[in-house]
Amino acid sequence: MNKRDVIAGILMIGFGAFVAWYSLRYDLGTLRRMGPGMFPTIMAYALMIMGVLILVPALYKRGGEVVAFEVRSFVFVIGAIGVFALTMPRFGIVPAIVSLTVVASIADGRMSPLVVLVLAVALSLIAVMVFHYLLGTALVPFKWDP
Amino acid sequence: MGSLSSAFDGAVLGLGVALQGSNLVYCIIGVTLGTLLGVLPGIGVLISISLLFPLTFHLDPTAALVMLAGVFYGTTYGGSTSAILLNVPGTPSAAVSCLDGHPMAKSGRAGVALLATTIASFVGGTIGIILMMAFSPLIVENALRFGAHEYFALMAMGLIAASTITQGSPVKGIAMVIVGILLGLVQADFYTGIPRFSFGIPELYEGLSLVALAMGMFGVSEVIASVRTIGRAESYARQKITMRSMIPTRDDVGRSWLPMLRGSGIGAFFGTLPGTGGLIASFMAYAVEKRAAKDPSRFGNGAIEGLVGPETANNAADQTAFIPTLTLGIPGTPAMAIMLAVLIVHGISPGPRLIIDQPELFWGVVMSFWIGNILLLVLNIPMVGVWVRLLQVPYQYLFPAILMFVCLGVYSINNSAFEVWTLVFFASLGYLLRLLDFSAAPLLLGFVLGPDMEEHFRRALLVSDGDFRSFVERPLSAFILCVTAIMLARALWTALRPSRRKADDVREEAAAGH
Repeated sequence: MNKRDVIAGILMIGFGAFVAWYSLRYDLGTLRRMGPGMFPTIMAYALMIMGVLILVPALYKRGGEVVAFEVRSFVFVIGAIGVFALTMPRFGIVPAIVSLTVVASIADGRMSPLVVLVLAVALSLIAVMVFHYLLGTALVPFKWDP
Repeated sequence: MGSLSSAFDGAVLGLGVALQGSNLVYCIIGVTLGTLLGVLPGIGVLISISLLFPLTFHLDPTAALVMLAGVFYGTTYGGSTSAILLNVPGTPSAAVSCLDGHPMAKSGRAGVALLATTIASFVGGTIGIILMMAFSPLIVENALRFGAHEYFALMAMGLIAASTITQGSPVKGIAMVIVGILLGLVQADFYTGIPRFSFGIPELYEGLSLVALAMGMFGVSEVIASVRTIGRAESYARQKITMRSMIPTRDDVGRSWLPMLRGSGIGAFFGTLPGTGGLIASFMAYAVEKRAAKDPSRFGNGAIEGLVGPETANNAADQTAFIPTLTLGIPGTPAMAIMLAVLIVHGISPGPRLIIDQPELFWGVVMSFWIGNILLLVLNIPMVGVWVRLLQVPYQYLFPAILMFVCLGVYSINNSAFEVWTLVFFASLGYLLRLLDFSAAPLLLGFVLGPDMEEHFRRALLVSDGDFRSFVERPLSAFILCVTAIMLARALWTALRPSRRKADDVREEAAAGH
């Protein structure tokens, strides 16, 4: 059994089913005068068919190892972006980039704290130069708006 | 051949305008800034042009357009650079370049890839201009023949083509296209204005952000996959970079010229149709090259045809997109809309009379595009060595920088953290799909084309009063749909045939043995 493709197929069927169900709350209209819900519904059913076409052969074929899920990388890269999203609007570029770098470095886990700090400062400087001065966007290096 | 000779006159006139000192200077500024910004992941064409737009108020319209045009294709080129080196498309339109460009970089051929891209862009732009000059009136005439039915058929064709470009099963490709379409449908309904799939979140009224999608699914998911798998102090450049590795081989050149010709044709076609552009052109070109190749299994592993064809198509499309924008007043992409805005701000109204009333402006812009392409060539060939050095930065320093640019780029779209949360969503989705051996590129195209496709579909049915037969009664749309159906049948057949298993198993074993 091709485990990876079985999961893939189930996921597609599941997502398609969800969209088809959710679209019911929109007016489907008729095929002549399509409402907002019609096209998503058609696509959702098409997706479910594709899901089946992925799932069924996978039940009989060999192979398809699921590539290892890098938990640490995932958690800390996503986490770093999340920290950025929380910090940036409240405290500005420099704190945001410093926290981003620090959290992201845990994903790597092989840099010494000093190196991380230097990297964080360097990246925030580059960020300020590019985004604040060069491009003149509304992003500011520091602010206080908790 | 009256139109050709008058086009030739126009070209000469335009060259005179484009080479004027001040215009040339603005062209250089535009191209340089554009390339630099384009390389930074997260900063794409739209952001660059929007930021520099206010500067153009003080310039005369020709100079303004020349500079913005320079930024426009400079950014596109820079986006490809990032796609090749880092597997992160600097602009969404560079997504296809990741597929074969990055494997080339990983096998030590980054220099060749970058050089090939530069030349391909130049060739695409040049042929685009020639086609434009020769066929301008013809093109405009034909573009008007494409109605809602034809557009729908074209987009369906493009999407089915996109599903075949992945290495794995085309069925997965089609699934990805559909998922992309569904994600694209998260937006207010065109006819009634009611929000769809917004789950009560007001920011979703206008839909999800393309940049967040492209950066998340390609860039961040690449980072997640690579952080711990690239060895300590190692970088992407596993082999030593020698001068020799930067020069294309005879084999490379021999393989490239046909894809460049095909790509130019495809690009010119999609460029002149308002509403389509470089993105769909690059996908089509990739699919065509893969189909035309003697050994399609090379694609996805560093086949130079897979890089050169789409790059040529993209640039040819960008070049020819000026035709409908300037002569019909119909912008094909948001970037073109800003170009139109520049014209309007200066009191010039675009339309069929523009070529007649303002030939210096029209042809000046067209020729400066070409000059800009030459500049790109000249500026970037020496830079190739520099970019390739970038690959040698140890990954542990590189990846936070990538994250930094992506986050700031996405945040600056709307000065809001919401887009960044969208980025989180797409990055997670992208990583999950990567683990399940799905390819993100078809999803991207589905996302971009989905809403347009729906609009054309609904309009076509409205116009023909719900009669489905109208799709096959109109010859053009029937033809395109026929081609699409053949492609689809072929894709499904090869996917479900038992002997396909062998190729997949060989790939599995190779991947497992890494």
